[in-house]
Amino acid sequence: MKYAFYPGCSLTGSANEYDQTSRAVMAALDLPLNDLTDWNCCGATAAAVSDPDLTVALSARNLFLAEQAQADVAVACASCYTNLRRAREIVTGSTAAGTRVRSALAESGVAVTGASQVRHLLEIIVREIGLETVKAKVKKPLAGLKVVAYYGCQLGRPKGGAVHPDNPVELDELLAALGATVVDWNGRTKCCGGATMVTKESAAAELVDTILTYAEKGGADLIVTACPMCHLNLDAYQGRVNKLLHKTHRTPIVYFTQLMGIALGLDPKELGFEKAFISAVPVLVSHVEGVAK
Amino acid sequence: MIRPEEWRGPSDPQFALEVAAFPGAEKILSCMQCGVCSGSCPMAAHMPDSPRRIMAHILAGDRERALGSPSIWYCINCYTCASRCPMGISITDVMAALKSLAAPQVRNVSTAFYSAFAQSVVADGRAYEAGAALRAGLAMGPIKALGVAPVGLGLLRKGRLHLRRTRISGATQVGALARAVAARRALRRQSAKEAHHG
Repeated sequence: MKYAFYPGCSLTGSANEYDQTSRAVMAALDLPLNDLTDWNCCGATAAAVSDPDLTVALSARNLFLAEQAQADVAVACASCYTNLRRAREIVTGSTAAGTRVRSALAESGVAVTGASQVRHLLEIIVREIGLETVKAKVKKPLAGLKVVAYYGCQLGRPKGGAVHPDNPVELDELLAALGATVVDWNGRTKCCGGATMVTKESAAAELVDTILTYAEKGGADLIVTACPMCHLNLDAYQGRVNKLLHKTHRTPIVYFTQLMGIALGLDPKELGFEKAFISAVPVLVSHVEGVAK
Repeated sequence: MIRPEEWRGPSDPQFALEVAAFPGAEKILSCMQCGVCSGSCPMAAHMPDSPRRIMAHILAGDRERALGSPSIWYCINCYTCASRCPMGISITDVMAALKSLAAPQVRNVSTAFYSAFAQSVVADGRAYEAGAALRAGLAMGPIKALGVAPVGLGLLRKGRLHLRRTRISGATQVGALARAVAARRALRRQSAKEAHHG
């Protein structure tokens, strides 16, 4: 089955470099992304505060659109990924909530059969395209670059996701295939605080501080993520966290697709490195000629 | 478990069933109070009541303590408890149910942010991050808002924050879905009230 790309709201705004590089990398891997037509927000973590049924219904409309297009859904945002796969399970299941949401959807002629699968880009690249294919396309190995793979929560949780909930390996393997030195660490699936960075700042700041500390103690040059929320909290809020907790962190955060872009030989100017608060360019310097520091 | 001196009898015997009707919260009655949720929760250190205690309040029918606990607003939706619960209860979804039951009576930064976000999604089909962040900023008060302002300005300067809303062509369908969901919620609220007051 072909894929319909679900960018999600973050990729149209705060994570637009993830959008840009996801498209560029998938095209370079001969699986160019075409958007799911007229997609809507998955509900994020916010819609559930009004009503958890609303999150399921919002996500279900996207599944309905994908089924109409006879496509599986390819998702870049880890949070959208979880909402969409969770909605698919609930709305095709036999619980009272599933039945109730189905009846609400039916009023608008929306029905979900489960025909379309929900896949994260990381699993499409690692499991479907395969690491051997990726390796064969590497033009500029990331040799000498020390990285940690940061999965966050939503790729593997709740259970049944793209990776193991506590001991994921896929992003580590991908980064190793790109030639990077992948550092073992204890922060792979630690939560970044998500939206509580806005609503419960001091608590979320401690979570971010923990992740940054683990990565730095491991000797990583940078942290690699597959989630817009993780990127926002670790990068854009890093200065704020330093201020609140009197720390001096200065660790760049990059999307895995940005590093893939370098390794696959794409134009570094098109990889959005200038969008980050803490630039990765100084540590990438031997790999990204011509990009402003 | 609830300590004997805390026990005050179920104020709302139907409460656990009301929570169990939310998506993902179905298995709540299987809770055996083992505490794996509390031991796994990255926010437990900040919560006055641990997730396990919140579960105990629900099972005891103590609606006020469950919905009134500040703890529920610390849940980040990380699903760590849900992936580890030996009984397969999605405690994360239970917390979401509690937030949504408590939200109409609560005015805080969390409800300001989440409701602004949800309103934009229902109106346009897309989230309006700038608007939600602004509403949260107003709810924080000037000192805290000034502290996080550099983050917002940085995003703006780097072209990562849209000041204009985006509306999809299926926005009316999204609105209709939201109304159909809300109508069902109102029916449940009514029947829970009737069950409570006999």
